[in-house]
Amino acid sequence: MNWRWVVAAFLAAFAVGAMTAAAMGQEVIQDSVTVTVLERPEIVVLQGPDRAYRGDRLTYMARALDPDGNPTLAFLVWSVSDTSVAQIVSVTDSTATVEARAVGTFVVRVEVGPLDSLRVGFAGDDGTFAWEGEIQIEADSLIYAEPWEEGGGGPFPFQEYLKAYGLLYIQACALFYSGDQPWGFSSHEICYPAYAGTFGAPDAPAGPLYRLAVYGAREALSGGGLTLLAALIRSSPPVDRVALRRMLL
Amino acid sequence: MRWLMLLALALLAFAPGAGAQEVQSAEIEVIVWGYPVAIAHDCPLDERGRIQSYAPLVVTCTLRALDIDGLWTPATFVAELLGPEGRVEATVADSTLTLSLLARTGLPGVRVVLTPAPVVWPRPDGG
Repeated sequence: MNWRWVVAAFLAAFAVGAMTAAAMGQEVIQDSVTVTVLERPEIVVLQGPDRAYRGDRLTYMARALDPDGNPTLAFLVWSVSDTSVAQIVSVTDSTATVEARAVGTFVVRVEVGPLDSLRVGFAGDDGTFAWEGEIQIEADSLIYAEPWEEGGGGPFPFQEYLKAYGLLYIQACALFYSGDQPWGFSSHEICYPAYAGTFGAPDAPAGPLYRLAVYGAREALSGGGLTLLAALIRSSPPVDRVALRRMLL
Repeated sequence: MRWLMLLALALLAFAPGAGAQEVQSAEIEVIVWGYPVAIAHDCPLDERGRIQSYAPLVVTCTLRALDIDGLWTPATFVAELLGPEGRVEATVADSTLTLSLLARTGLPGVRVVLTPAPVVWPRPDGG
C-alpha cells in the first residue's frame, strides 16, 4: 500500500470537512467524512488456455488482487505479442477473447493498473465526455500499416496503430462527423449511453459496444475525412491531449 | 491550520510517485496448431484401410495427425473396424495403433478406418 494515498485520503477527509464548514460560515463542533481507501492492485491472476488450434476462440480471465485480500479496483489492459498469430476480438471488464488465426506461438498479456493511472481527459465516471472541441482529421494523415485503398487495405489495423505510438491499449469513445454523416467510434461499452442515438442505428450491436472495436471507421474514413467532436479516451500508458492530437493529425 | 493541511494535501498529490503508474502484469504463452484433418502412419494398411500384411499376428504402428498444410498437429485417434466381425481387433493408445489378427479368414474384407480428432486440453485452472 502506498502510504501517500493513505495520508492523502486522511487529509482529503479533513479538508472537505474544513471547507464545508468555511462555506457555511458556522462553527463546526463535530464532523466526519468516511473515506474508503482501496489498496492498489499488486497481484494479477490470468487464467486461460495455453494450447489451441487455428480458428479457436480462447477466453482469458484476469483478476486483480490485493496481497492482503482487501478490495481493489483496477483496469485491465490486454495485448497479444504477435497479431499475425492471434488477435483480441473482444474484451469485457474481466475477460478477453482471443482468436488464434495462424499456426505459431503468441503471448497473451494482461496489465493491471489503478484506474486513475490510465485515465486521460476524463472528467468523471458519469459518462460525460471531457474532451470537446472539433479536430479535423484527414484520412490520409492517419497512420496505417498499409496504404488505404478503396475496397481494399483490410480493416483498420488497430493493434499496429497502437504499436506505432508505443501504446499498449486505448479505449476510445468518440463521435465523428464525416460530411453530414455522424459516425460513432467505440471500443468500450461506456459509449453507449452517451451516444445511443448514433451507436444504436442502423447496425446496432446485439451486445455491449465493446464487441465492435472499430465501429464504422472504415466507411467513415473512406469518405475522405472526419471531424472529431467529442471523445473519451483512456490509454496505457497515458497520453496527454497534445500527444493525442499529434497521433490523430 | 486548514490551509496548511490543504498545502500538504496538494504536495502529496503531486509528489513524485503519487500518481505514478503501478502496473502489474501476467502472461500466458500459447501454442497454436493447425486443425487435424489427416493421418500419416506406418501401419500395414492401404489408402482404404485394408490390411496389407497378415504376419505377425500383432502389429503396432505409429499414427501422426497432420493439418491442412501437412504439418504435425496434436490429436487423438479413433479406429473403427468395418467389414466382417471378429477378424481383427484394433486399439489406439496415444499415437500407437495395435492391430491384432484374430482369424486368418475374411481379413481382406476388413477395413480399419482411422480418424483424427482434436484434443480437448484441460484448462490450466483445472476447470
